[in-house]
Amino acid sequence: MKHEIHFVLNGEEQTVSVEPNLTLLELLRDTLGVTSPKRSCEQGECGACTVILDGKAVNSCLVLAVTIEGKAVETVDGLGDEGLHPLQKHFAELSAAQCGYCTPGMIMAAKALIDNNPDPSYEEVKEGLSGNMCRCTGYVKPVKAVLAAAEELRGSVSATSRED
Amino acid sequence: MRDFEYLAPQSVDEALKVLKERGSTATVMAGGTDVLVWMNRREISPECVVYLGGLDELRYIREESDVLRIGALTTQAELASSALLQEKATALAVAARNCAGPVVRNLATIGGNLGTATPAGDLILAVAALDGTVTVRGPKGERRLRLDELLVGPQKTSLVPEDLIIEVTIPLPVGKTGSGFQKLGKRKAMTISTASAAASVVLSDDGATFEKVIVALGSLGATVIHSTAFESALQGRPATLEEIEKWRHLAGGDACPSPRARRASAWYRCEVAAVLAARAVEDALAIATGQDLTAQRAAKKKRGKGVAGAIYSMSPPGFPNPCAVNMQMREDGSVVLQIGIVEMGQGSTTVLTQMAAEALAVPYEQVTVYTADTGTMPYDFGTVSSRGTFVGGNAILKAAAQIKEVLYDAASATLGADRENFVLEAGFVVDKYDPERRMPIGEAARFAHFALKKLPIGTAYYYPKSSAPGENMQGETIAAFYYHATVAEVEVDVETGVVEVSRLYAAVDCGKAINPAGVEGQVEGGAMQAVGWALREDGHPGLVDSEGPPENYNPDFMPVDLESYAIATSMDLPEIQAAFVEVHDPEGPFGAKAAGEISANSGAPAVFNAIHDAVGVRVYDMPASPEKILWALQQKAQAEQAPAGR
Repeated sequence: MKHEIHFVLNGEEQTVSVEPNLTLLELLRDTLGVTSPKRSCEQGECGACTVILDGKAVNSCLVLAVTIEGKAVETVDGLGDEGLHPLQKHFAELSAAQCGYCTPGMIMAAKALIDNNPDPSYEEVKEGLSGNMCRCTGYVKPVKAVLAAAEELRGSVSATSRED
Repeated sequence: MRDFEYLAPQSVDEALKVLKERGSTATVMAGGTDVLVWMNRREISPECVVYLGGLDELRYIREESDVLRIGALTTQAELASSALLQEKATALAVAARNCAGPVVRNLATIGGNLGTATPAGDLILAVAALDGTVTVRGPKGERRLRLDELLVGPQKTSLVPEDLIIEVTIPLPVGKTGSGFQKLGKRKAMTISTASAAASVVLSDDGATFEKVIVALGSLGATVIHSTAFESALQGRPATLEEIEKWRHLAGGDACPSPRARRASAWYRCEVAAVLAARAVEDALAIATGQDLTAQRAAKKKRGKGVAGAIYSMSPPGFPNPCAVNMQMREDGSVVLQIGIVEMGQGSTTVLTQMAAEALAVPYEQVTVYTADTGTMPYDFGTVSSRGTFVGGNAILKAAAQIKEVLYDAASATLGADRENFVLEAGFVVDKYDPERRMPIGEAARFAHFALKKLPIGTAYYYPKSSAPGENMQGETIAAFYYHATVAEVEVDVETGVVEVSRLYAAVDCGKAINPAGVEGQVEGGAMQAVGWALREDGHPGLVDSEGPPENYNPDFMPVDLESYAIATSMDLPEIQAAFVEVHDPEGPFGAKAAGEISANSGAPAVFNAIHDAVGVRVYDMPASPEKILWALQQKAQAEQAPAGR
């Protein structure tokens, strides 16, 4: 039996009918055509499908679509009001993506991390990314990119507060 | 996943009613991190799923007089970050932080962990050590269960389908107390424990003696095991690290229940059970007394450094290795390149674009590379053997030379100078003897197309020297050699055999680095692969070593998923320091060679050499898993104790 659900995807309200056995990952990719969350292990091990659900990074393969009624989902597609979000910018500038399969999930895990902890240490960034497997980079450049993005965001926040 | 009926009660009462109606046809789902995986794999296909996410009344951590109450839907992330738990139930906070990874921890719940009842459950172990009880509500009302009443076997509880786990209650003893949690898995995050231990202590008022000690072992039996021998040996004894050391053998070795060989041999799991049990009690004691264990723990680690070098050749001798390209300059000066070198993240398209742009003196943005379609691409041998930059670049240079000839014809016809005078420079065809005499490359291309009726097209085929080796393997058999070196520093835990790479330096001789950031990425990624092979990636179970620890190469070790095939997480690597050495290669395009496969080559021997430097043992087959190291250390110790002359 289909259930009608209402939720917010990257700031836009959505109403869709879903079968109970549809995962959030399948809803995003197959129903809504949002393919940035990647389908990989479907066991909660790789992190490639990571999205932000009500402010928290989760594996979208481990969430039933029917359970997100009333919630807000963010994917990498929703980042950056004008141009690239600092995370995207620094991932690109530092060549932090190689094959790129883990990148959208890793950026969302990183965003949840710095949203909750704007000034993370090197070790905290490593822990924050530890649910997102990457086979290409050795995590060196992704960790640097997250630290650089956090620094830039702190700068822009303090600049704004100075103006106020 | 098969279809099912979905029910989402919004209160505990409603949930109990639903469970009563549906009985055994229903499966309860909290965070879903286990249930959904089983359903995805079709290990279970419930008729009805009762989702508990709406039961907000079960999300809490609070202190009430002498107990901590934790609602069943509290997530691992909430447990890990709770200041209250960190202070008063440290083992549980630490256990939560050791569960899976940060993304999964936002979903998984303590009630789910208890209901799943896996013997490796980190939270279960901590609750056991903290003497916690579980409140369950069902058809016969509410009852409180000790863990040994709740957990009756692997993935088995005493609950009936109508029951709901409501709360975990942890007593808060007064006085000098503390608790600790220790886990050992294949890596630091996203890992199921090979062995684990949790402990709590209550000291006498003066802090001098152990009044009560609880030691729980995980992953070793059908459910949580209490190391009663170790517990009772410590009770009443002086509360010191020396006492813990003296009696810890009672928690492991022969005293250990015989676990299955899973994730490591039964021998190893029992060996480290004692170590982890002791460390968990030490952690608990340290909290109770305010001791600092940093120096004590550091003394159990030996450091060593290792270096290794590697040489690698572009394809084997005599191997056919050609690459063909079609390259065309369009009327606006933009360039289209067709080439069979496939981009898979190594950065080949970037490098090929750079080289085409450089060869034709046009901006990077004006070159488009088309690849990865065998139906339309010119012949290429394959994106293998670290050959893309070398053969692709050389083919591009040959094709570019043909295009240049046409552009020089066009410039000569338009500008009047001898065609041999012209060169390409920053978007222009320029007379090198009279630089004022110049025209934009796009104009020259257009003139060639429409006035000269010559197309600026290059079709080239590059076949590197790779003749079959002659007598004694001599001859010009290899087009290019690559060189690589790694320096590794490791810390070896002499009690567990766990090796951690604390510093890693890797350098490659890649010839000219066409894309320096890409080379760095290859070196860093290669180093990660090498450390993985060196320490934890078990490829297959076939290499039986009769001298190894018993049951070592059990078929259960065969990797079946990303948990058992444990590539490193971000927590398992140091910040890799990558470098490249640009030794110009006369045969290479712009002097370039390669940085791909070679970058994975010297890391593992460097780590193995560092292990030898640290603890004096050598392991000869990869990976140098903790059990192989520990076995080798014990063999070495026995040999050193043996009487001379034998």
